[in-house]
Amino acid sequence: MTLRFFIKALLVVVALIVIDISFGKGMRFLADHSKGGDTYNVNYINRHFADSLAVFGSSRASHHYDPETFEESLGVPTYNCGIDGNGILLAYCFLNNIIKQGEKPEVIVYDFFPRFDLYCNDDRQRALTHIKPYYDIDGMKDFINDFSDNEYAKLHLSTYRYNSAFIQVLSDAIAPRQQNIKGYKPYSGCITTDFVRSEEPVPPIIDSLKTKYLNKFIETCRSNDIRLVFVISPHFFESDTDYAGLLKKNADSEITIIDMSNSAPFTNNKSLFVDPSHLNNTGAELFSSMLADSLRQMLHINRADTTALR
Amino acid sequence: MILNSFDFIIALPLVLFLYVIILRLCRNSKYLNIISAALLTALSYAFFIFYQPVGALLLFAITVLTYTFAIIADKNRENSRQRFIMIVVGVLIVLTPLILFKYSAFINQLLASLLDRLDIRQQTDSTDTQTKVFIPLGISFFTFQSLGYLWDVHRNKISVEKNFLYYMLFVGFFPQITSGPISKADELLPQIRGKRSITREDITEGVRLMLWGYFMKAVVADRVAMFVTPVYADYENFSGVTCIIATLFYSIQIYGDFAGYSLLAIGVGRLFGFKLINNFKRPYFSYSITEFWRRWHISLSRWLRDYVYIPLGGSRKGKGRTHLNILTTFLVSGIWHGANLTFIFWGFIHGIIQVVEKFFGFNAKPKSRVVIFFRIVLTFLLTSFAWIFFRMPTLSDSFGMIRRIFTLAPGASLSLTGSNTVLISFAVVSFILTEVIQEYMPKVRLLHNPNSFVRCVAIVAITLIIMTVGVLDAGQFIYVNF
Repeated sequence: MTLRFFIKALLVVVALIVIDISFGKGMRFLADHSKGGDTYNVNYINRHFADSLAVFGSSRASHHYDPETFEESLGVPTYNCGIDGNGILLAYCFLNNIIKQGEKPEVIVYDFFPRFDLYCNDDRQRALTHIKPYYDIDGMKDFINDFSDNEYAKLHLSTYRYNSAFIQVLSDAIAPRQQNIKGYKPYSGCITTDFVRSEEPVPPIIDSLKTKYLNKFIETCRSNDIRLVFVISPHFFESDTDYAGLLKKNADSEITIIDMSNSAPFTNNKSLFVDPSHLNNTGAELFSSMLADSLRQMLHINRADTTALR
Repeated sequence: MILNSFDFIIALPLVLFLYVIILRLCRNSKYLNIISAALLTALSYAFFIFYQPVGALLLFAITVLTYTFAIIADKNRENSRQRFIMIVVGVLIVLTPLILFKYSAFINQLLASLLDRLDIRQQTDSTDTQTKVFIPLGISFFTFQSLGYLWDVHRNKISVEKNFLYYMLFVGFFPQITSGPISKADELLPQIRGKRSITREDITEGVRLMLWGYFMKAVVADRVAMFVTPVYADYENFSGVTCIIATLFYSIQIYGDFAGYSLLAIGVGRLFGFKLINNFKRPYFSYSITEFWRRWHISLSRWLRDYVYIPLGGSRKGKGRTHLNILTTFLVSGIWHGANLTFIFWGFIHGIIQVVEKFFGFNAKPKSRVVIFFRIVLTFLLTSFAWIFFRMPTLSDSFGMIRRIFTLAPGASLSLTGSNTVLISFAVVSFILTEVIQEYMPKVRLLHNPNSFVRCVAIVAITLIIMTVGVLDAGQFIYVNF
């Protein structure tokens, strides 16, 4: 093998390194200047969070909780930190990063959904997609290595950190497509067809990593004087699963739960859902308003005097 | 062996570097080949043990058995009857672990359901007969490769391999152990016995093949899987049109996945100086199902032709027998793919279409370009239809999916993020474009361009595409399950 061959191979490697570094710097710049979408949300949560009430959870959080309704009802700045297809793993990372900023919320509403908060699933990679670009924040190394073996080593490549995300980052910096109100993503439309209730193909298995992070989440809230309320938001089909019981069983300490999974007027009401798992904007506003009332009573908040949350 | 895993990608250059250094240090030794074979065999077993220690034991047992039976058969060269008996006994013994590990649960389930239907015994809980059974990694591939060797020795097509180390490497060579390609002894053993060297061409070609393999797997297959998986998992709630798109995308997914794996295996083999058989030749440009099987999973098609179809009589015993032989061969192909009625049905569909093609003479290449085009489209649609059985867990789900497609059933469409829509579209368009260019414009080359600057730019560009838009979670290859 000739020297020429080695020089060419070296040049290819150097070109890859230079492009990789430039790509990373460009993506970081775009993320910091994003105007909306998930890029703005995640960047806001990880680096600039400053609200009193935070909603955490999966797509059922991001599409069900309207911050404006909570702000009107409770009079406190609210942000929806729910991210589609994610649960407790990502939520704990977010909470950790928020506390690291020194700006902790007073109340956290956690939308509990066992698929993402308890059961084994393929969502570890999805959580990583959102936290990989923030790998340099203190404490992230431990989560990342907990979620996936050897992951932290790969994050030294910028192209890997922003893998599959660069189109989202680019569009969120130029012209965000998704309507996004303080993290809330309203769905329009309603159910028009007869959905078949799909069962889990195999009995769900509890993911020990998720129970670990669920309990760490509860403990972190407790040690930081954050009032934590778990909420089970409405499902279209009447649920046989005792979500509240399941949650209590897996939580090591006492927790507060508001179970609205089978509540009227939501269950089997096609006009309030966009699919069996997600409320539409009408359903979300109604649910948010009902929940805000419950929270006001539960947390003893007087609309005229919101200092309880300040 | 997860050829797209981070561990493997990090270990490969280090191992290759050490291997090259040792080869250079021993280049004047008369034991060079033995040292090289010992290193590669140790490496192959080390990789296998890393992922599945019990599977490595089985691989070793199959290797010892087939090696021994081939030696005994060779010693009985004069007595053809005794030799035949030895080979048959050898084949049966070697097939036993495959049947036990892969098919026993399925046979048990079939029998239970038959007895239930005949009301001979009490109804059973379906979960009783669906116990998850441990299946050793690559068992179908290394069993078939060693059986092919045994049969070739019996038919005097090759001489028996007396060096056990060489034979161990032939059966257990790590790039091909989990998902092929299934090599023939007359291709791989001479390379193992021959003078060992790694040239610059081996390295560059190996890297190019691997790069394209990663592209097919991470950028194409795993990306379209993001559409296919949710639709197939919950097909009853999706519209007929969404089910059609998912089915067509599955054709792309399975091809990208398996061709990607094969390219990786061939590329890794080439890095170590071995030329493995090319497993795919743009199968979706086939003008008939018969031609499809000359372009799809070539090493398995060849194995089935040489060791099932031809021994059954091939096309030498009249039309009726030829058709029966085709059907039998494709039923074996279906069973080989998995212990499930869906695979058997999939094999049957391919067999029956080929019988029809042969009967009407549709297996010959049409002269008109227009006819060729329509036949290519028809063949693609037929293979996509058959993939439904391959993809679905049960026959009733397969027919449920088909019902939704053919009745254009109303239902939901898959909601994707804008970013994912762009990435899936990119995967589909780049797949179609690269396949068309390779098939019809072979002079347009990027990775093999005569200009070294273009080649280097192509390597950098493809690497960046894989890194930025590929699905990099080292998802398992579909064919590892077979």
